[in-house]
Amino acid sequence: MNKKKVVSLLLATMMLGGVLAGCATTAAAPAASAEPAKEEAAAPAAEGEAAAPAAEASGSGTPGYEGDGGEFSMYLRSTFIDWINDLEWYKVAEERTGVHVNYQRGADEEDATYPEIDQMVLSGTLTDCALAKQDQANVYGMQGAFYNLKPLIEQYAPHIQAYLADHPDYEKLITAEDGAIYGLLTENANALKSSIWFYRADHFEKAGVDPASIKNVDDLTDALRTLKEYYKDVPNYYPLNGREEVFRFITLFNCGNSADDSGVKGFYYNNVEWGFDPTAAYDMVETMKLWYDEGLINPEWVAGAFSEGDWEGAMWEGRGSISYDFYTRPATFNLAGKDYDPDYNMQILDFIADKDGNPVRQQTPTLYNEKRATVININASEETAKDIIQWIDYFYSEEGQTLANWGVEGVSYEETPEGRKFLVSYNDELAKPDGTMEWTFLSDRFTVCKPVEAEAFFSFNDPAVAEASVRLFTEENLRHGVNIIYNEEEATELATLTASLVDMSKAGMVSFITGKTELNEENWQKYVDDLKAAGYDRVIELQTEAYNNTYK
Amino acid sequence: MSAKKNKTAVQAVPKKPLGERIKKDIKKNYLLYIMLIPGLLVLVLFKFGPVGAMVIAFQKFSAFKGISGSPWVGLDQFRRIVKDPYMLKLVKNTVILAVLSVVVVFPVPIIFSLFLNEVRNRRIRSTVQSASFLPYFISSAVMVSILYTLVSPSYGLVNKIIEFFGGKSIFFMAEPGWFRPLYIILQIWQTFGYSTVIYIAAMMAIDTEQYEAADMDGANRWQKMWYITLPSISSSVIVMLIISIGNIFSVDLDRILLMYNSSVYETADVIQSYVYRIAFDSAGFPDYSYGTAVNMLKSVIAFILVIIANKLAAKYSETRLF
Amino acid sequence: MMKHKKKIDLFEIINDTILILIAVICVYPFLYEVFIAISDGRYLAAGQVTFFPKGTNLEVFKYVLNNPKLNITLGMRNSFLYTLFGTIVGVVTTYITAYALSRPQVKSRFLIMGLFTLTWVFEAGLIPTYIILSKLGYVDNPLVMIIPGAINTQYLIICKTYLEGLPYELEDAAMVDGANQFQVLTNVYLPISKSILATIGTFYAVGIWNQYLTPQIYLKKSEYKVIQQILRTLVLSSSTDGETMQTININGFALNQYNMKAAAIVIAMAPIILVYPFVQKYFKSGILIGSVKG
Repeated sequence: MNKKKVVSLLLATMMLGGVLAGCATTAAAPAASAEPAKEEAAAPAAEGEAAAPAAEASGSGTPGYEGDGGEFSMYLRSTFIDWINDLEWYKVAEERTGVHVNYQRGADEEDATYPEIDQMVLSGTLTDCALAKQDQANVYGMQGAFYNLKPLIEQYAPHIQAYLADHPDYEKLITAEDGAIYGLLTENANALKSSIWFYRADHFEKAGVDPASIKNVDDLTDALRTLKEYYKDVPNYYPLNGREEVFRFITLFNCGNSADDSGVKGFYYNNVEWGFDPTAAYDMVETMKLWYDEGLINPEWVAGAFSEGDWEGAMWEGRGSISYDFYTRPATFNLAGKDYDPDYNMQILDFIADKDGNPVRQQTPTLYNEKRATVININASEETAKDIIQWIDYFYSEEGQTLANWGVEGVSYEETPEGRKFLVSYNDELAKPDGTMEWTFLSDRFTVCKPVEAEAFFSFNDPAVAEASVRLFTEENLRHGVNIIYNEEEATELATLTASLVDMSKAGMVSFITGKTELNEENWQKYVDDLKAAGYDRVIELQTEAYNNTYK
Repeated sequence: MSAKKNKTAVQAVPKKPLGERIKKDIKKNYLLYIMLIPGLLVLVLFKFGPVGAMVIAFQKFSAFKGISGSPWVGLDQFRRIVKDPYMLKLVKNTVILAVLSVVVVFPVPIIFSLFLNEVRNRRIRSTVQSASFLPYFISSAVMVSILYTLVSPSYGLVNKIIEFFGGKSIFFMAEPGWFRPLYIILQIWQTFGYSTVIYIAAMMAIDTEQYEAADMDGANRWQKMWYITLPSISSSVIVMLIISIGNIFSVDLDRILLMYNSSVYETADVIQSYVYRIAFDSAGFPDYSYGTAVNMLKSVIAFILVIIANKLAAKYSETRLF
Repeated sequence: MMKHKKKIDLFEIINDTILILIAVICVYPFLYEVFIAISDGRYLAAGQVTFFPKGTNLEVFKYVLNNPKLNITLGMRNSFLYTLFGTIVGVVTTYITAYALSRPQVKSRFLIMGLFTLTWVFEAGLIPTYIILSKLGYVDNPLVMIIPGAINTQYLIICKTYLEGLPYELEDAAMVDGANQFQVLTNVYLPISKSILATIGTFYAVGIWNQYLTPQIYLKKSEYKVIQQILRTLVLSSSTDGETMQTININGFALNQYNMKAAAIVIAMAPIILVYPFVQKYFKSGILIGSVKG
């Protein structure tokens, strides 16, 4: 009898405990983090002054590194963490500095990580530092959520300080309205290059298509027709294939976005590289409709239902011949391609001119990646904040940059009279299964906030890709996106507007391409008018306003 | 019955001052009150807490500042709703889905139950009922995933059948025009077994003498179904109908979020999914206040509908929903 | 009635056949996933698998369960744990609360029940709930699957209705014997409440197992994710990269993303399908209590 009573009492207490446990964790967390902060505050000046010279004086530390090790937590997209965990040079960096970063795994998809930061700010669960968007850094920073990095840099980070002095445009870009710096943007390796065209050379040969003959859009269409005719018996074969975003051909038809002093055209917010100007997209839609009608382009892709996995499957299994995608993809396809087809051979095509035969400049992302701003949580202790900024500072020193871009001399690279040469091969390293350590220097994959060295970045590649990169990614061929920093009102309104508008404009174009809406001047005009009524003009207005705030 | 008797007995006790009565009551029934503590905690923290937090609809809530630190803006958020050009589409999509759920989904289990009731073989009857009831317990994530593979354009069964008959494969999940039919089909698949349980139970309660009497009068099967079975379950039908009208605004958010993608927003985006998106999946800053304001309007309308439905149910079948 | 049964009745044949067909249509899609999972990936990629499997290979289940990148084992484990503890906490809390609210001595019972009902009918919505729960520390805290949903008002009503239907004399008799109210609950009412406990227990269990939105909003860390979230990432997300589900060859069979997706679906629904035959009667009784008496 009593036993039962005890059990039920226990259960009731357990319940109570459970309910309160939730409260307890929050109540405890800020308290715990607040305490060291207070201690720090008591003697910040003394310690700061003492610590900095001490590190320099000791000299026993790593050249280029000012700090004395430490440990902190960082929230990051989980894919980045997987990459970091396999990096040989990163491991060396942690050994040399004595810093250990506890990464907290975020979402797999990059765009899903930023809402998670909003939520962590709300619930007070943000890690010591995190990778945020620049507008998040500024808005929450000005509300007091993040450290002002400016004094930290002045005090602890001589190499970042020097970098700021060398790059006044950069400093201006990351400085918030109140004059503080809340987020440290990273250089964007992706701005050094664009997507490229690549093709199955074996398919071309069998079907009798000469890759050199593809000079402009019409040549491309002809080549697609020949391929389709040759492979017409292969089920689900579409010569032009791709993943996710189907409106990749904006530059070919001059309907990409642009931002300069005359104003901002097309969708720019959150989509610098692929943002398009729907009001100028008639030619593109017309040509894509032709491709669609003749079965030259994958209709699932057009419908927005073709994932990365689907695309890779199709390109490996011979259900596609041409793609316009990320520049290292041809090498990746070749790595596994022979398993599917002994003749498998993916090659890179030169850039294609537009309909009138004029050369096209490929749009790239911005030089500084607005979505890679390192922020430091105000709840982190000053000691931790110092550790973080010194860790980043190391990668702005010459020694740190050499390590991050080239690795260790004699192990991953050697000095030769013609400059540095990698001793490790891209294909060997990338072929290692995930979970094994590898020497990779893909600066477009986020590792730590650091400058990018173009030479190292391009030369660590599959030989064919490395060669093509140098040949194709010249300044004449590229047009860099322009950084625009939005304030909270602009960002909120643009996010809400574009959330429905971009999809609406794409859905409209898809409907023309698939023939659900007849493509003629009248219907097109109606399409454009509908977009304007739904807020397109407001988007342009807000973007222009933000551009002017950033630059004027 | 017994509870009522006791109640009158309690009331018969001569009244003493309130404080004393409370003290005595607590002393006598303290164990019952202890038992209530977990329930009250849940009620206060998890049921009333959120209702209180709805005040952010009158703020310009900022994640870092919290409710106490965010500025008050009065009815600004509600004014935004009126001006938002997208709101009209959301309301339209929500209402269409809701109306379809009642008009199309509602009659299915009634018809099914009528015919299932005619099955004499008990084993067939219970097996069919079990099979129809099973999908009700499967999660939306699994149901939508199954749908996704079934209608896949490259290998899905549905498109294979379409192609077999010479059609062109359809990209169901990316076609705005297909979203509503697929949503409704899933809804039928997932819920008709549930309502069937209720109708069949009501049919079991029908006095067999009624059928025997009808047999004497030479009534055929259809007449018996129409004149005996159907009227006998009419009160259940009315209650179910009122419930579903009362719940007209509660779409299955899990299902929508799992099914929709940017290419079908045109038809798939409803008030709840929009609120979810601007708060938890926003490309800019989460607009908590606006989302709460939008949802508040929806909740108020839904609340009124449910209250009316409850009144109607009480009137027509002497049962209340709560 | 018996006379009809002996006759060969055309209506009944057609009716039975159609109903059996509907039953098959209801259940076939679940089987279809099994067929896709075990078919040879090469036939799938070529679009040659229709109603039945082509080639059979059971390796796919072993493969997806042992592939840590897919996180299926982790998701299943988490779902099991949340369901187990969530059900225990839910049933205990709901039952105790329903019991207290069914006692006429508790004068405030109508008020409390009314408040429960009010917050049930008037939804606060996702955002205010999120703000409260995040302040209480439930973000990235597995307890979010267990505590906040401990009382489902609908099940509370079902449970309370049941308890009110039991004769009050039981309590009187026990009290005369000197039992206190806890002992009345545990010794008198609990033993005769087994069926209602089983009913709300199964409701809670299925409800927690099937949840998608709550974990999706609150449980962001990959180590806390439930199988429903994992399933969405693997099957429905358009940006799952091809590497996680790259085609492999096992014993001369190809395993590709289609096999693996289907296998993930089969694994996620298996627990429910396996226990369904044993618990469906509790569901039926629960639905009937809930709808008829309410």
